[in-house]
Amino acid sequence: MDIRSQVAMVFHLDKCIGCHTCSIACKNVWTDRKGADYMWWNNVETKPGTGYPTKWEDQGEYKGGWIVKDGKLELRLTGKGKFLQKIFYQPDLPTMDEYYEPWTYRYEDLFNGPELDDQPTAIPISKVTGEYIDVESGPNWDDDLGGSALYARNDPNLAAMTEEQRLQLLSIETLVMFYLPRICNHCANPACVAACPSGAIYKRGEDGIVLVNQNVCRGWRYCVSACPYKKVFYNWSTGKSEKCLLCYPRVETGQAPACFHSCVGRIRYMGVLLYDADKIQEAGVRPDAELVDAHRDMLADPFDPAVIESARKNGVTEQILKAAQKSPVYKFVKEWGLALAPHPEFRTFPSLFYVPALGPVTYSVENGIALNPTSTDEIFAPLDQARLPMSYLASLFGAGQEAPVRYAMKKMMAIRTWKRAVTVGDVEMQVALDGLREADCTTEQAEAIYRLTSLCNYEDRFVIPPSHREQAVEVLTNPLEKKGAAGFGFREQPQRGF
Amino acid sequence: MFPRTAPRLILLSALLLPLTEPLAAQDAEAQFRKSCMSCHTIGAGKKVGPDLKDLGKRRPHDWSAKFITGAAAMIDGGDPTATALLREFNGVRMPELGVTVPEAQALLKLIDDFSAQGKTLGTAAISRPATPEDIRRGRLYFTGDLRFKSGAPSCMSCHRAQGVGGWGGGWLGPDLTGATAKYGAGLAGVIENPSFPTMQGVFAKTPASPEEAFQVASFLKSVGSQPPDQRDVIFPVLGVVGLVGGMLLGGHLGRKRLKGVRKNLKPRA
Repeated sequence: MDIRSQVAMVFHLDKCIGCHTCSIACKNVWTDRKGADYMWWNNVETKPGTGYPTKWEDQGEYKGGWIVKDGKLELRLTGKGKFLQKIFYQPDLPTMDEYYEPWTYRYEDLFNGPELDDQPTAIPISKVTGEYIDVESGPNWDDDLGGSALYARNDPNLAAMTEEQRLQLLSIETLVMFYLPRICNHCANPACVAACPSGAIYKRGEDGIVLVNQNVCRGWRYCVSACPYKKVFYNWSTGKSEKCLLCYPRVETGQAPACFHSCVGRIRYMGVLLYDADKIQEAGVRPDAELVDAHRDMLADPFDPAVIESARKNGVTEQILKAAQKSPVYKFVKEWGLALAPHPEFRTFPSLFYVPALGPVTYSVENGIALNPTSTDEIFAPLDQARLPMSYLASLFGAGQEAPVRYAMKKMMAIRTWKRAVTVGDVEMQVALDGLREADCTTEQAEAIYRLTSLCNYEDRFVIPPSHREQAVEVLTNPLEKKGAAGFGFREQPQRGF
Repeated sequence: MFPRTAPRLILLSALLLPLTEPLAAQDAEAQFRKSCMSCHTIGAGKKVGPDLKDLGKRRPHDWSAKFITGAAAMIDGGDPTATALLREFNGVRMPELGVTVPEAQALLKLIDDFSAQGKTLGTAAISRPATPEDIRRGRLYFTGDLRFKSGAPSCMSCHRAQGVGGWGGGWLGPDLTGATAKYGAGLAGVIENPSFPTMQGVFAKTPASPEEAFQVASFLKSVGSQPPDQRDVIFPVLGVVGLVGGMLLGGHLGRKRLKGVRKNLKPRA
């Protein structure tokens, strides 16, 4: 047993309204720079859709993530032999066209343009070349199913559905969509770290945040291709790769990252997960059908004395252990079984989990007019008749397995029905309680889920332990070295003259 | 600064002029080694041209000086002695050496001095017929499989010739396949004491021995009569075929590369 601590996340998709506030907060803080302007460390996608970069889930194209070969984990992109073949030319890099060419407008034309019969306009110009561009795509080009005939139709997850289901999903009367906000998953088994030839990417020991060392990065860009979630980006101005750093300066000071903090729907939760690093390799080679369970099995119970002892041996502090016991992420993922990792079949074991969105409530159509539910006994249609087929969600969150998705959906629907019976009273209590029992949920658990979903405060959503950077720094330098010395020092000696 | 320095320098060189006199003999010997010795000796016998011992007794100095500074004009002008010499030495013309009249006079004085003192300069050409062993060793010297005793670089570093196989040799100097036709019997002497500025730089301190030079010359003579290789046609064809084949192979190996995702979504117009 080798217990480590990981700052983990849950995004509650049922609460996401797709407002992109998280993306803007992140952009303003981190990527509003030359060379980084096309990056969206946080982006919000509409599903079904192809996302950003286009079709990132299609590893047939992008070659990201891990595969199992001869019972061993292997990067799909590279390896010792494959790397030598590709040393002069890396053939699997996404181009700017897969992201989008960043642009702005020539606003000065509005003031300096010659006098004409018509109003002056600010034409779009590329932020890369400065030349006029005909804007063809953007980071959320298929937002709210825009251009769905092109984008939603090419969603790689549709491959798991039958032709009939696809037709139904894409026809205008029965269209359905939900939002999928994405950041770096800070995986337990990160493919980007494994692929880096320079050893520039590392996973921090104390909290599991994955970072790119800008001094070591040599711009090989193997991380860009190897990350199956396409969340490492190449800065074309500095020639280095960059990625979401989970706002570690904020996390270290006990604040939630910018995208978490600014979230309007309060969909984001952050807390500590303890996991057994010894189980990663073994879990990674399990067949697709067992991956969700293998991942959950890897996460350790923070109340188990053996786990606590092993964690202490690894230098996990008491505060972190305490935070792990209060972690909302642990509850959502392990206790309640509601939150699921995206695409577990990539075998990177993300530390970001999603609570799937419930479908639209049941309604009937009469004479072309949609009516509200007539019988509140059934607020939701049975899962088999859900407008968003379970096979789609299974492809996104279950490595093709419907069971874990069905379990989460059923529980959420049962809690919604039970809560309606309690507060409104138009559902028979016995029906609601039967529903809860069927969904493997007690009333206490239902109440707890309800509270953490609907009535959560800042302290409930973000349980961030102190990082003790002041202690961590002692490993590298002696903080008392300069004690008693006068004046200011230099972090790096200034270079002058020859 | 400069306008005032120049007259002083001229004055200084004028003062130094008498000091250069004792050096003249040494200079003349160096000049002889450089310009004459590939074809002539003093008192060591005939080479490409005649032995120059007792030249002063055979011909007037004026005639000799004129011949040294402008042999071609005299041969073409039908000078009887010059024509006779040309016939005697198998029609090998004395080349234009670019020697000035004072230099020629210094050379003649040197020849007289050496003749009077009975000293010799240079070695006579080897006149025996080349054996197959000579030709074989010559080829080895040319390719560098046998090193020259002096440590001089092998011929193939700069020259090419037929019969050395493979790539033929270097392209810095000329092709030596037809060298015999140009220098005739004098080839060995040219190899031993090359009068070309580029080769002098390399071989002045590390000359080939007469035996080595004779063997290399024998080898070159043996290849001079061979028909030209077919290599010249095959090589560029092989290059083009190799390039096209290499590109096709590269394209085939890289056929699974990422060729763009979004642009392939769009319906083709």
